[in-house]
Amino acid sequence: MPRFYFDSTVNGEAVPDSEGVVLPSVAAARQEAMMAAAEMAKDDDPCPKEIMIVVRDGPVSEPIATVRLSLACDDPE
Amino acid sequence: MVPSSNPDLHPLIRKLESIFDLTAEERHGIAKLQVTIRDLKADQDIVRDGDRPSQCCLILEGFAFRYKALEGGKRQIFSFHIPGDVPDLQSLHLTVMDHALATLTASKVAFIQHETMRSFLHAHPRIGDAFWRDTLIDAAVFREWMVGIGRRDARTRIAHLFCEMFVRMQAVGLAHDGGCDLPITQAELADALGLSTVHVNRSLQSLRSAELIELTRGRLTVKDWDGLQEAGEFDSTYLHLRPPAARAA
Repeated sequence: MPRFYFDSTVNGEAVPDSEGVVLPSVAAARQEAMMAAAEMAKDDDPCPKEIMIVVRDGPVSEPIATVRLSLACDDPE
Repeated sequence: MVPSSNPDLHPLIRKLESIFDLTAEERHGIAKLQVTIRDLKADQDIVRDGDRPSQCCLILEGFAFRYKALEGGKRQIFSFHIPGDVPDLQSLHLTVMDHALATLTASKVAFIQHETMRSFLHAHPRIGDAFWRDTLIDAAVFREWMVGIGRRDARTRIAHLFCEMFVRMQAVGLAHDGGCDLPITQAELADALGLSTVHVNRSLQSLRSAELIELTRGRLTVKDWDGLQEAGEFDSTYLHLRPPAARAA
């Protein structure tokens, strides 16, 4: 099974993934990235929150998918 | 006469002595305990969900974990077990396994027939009490994990697990030089903490960059114990450890 790498950035704080995760398919890797973004939205960091996860299929490969999640809580106009 | 100890079962003695001082008679009972010792590979089921075991197992070397497999290949890990633990002790009273037990790493395991265990515990009621106590602590650990999975954020959950494993290893003399073996992969951490592996990876990096821990080649090094406890909201009360001062030298 292929190994995928997920570089995540939350509010500008980038964490490159050097270990990777073994997953059955590109579809599973996309699903994993979306799940991770949703989980990161629940972490205790301050809002608003901008989450980005870039998926690669090798440690130095070009991205095969990018997941973005934006969480804001605006006051009424 | 001082009974000669069965060196193979030393992890059980060490575990029990982390709870109370054994008498010569109790040590003798352990030395005479009939067991079958087996070397198991990593990721091997010891007992499966739905099994009706006739024996329980004592971890002598290595690590084990209890889990439940879900539809679609997912699984939830309930607990990690270290040398001296008897992770399927419940099978002595509960006939059917409601979860599975597997090795995390290559392990040496002693299998003890239920009948042998029963007569051993009848002959040595204080050890029976210690095992009962251990299952209560097991439940206390589950409560703490429930708080984590339900209410703590990812970084806190991981820090809490590291504190727990370090303190448990320390209690049975398996922590040295500010660290201990912890051969748990990120995917296994994810299955234990109810997180995605990607999220575990990010949270681990955060604990590393805050210089609280290092986790390399299956070894956990605690670089800042106070900081790690704070990050994990960790209070060891639920492990009900014997204060080191109360232990025999």
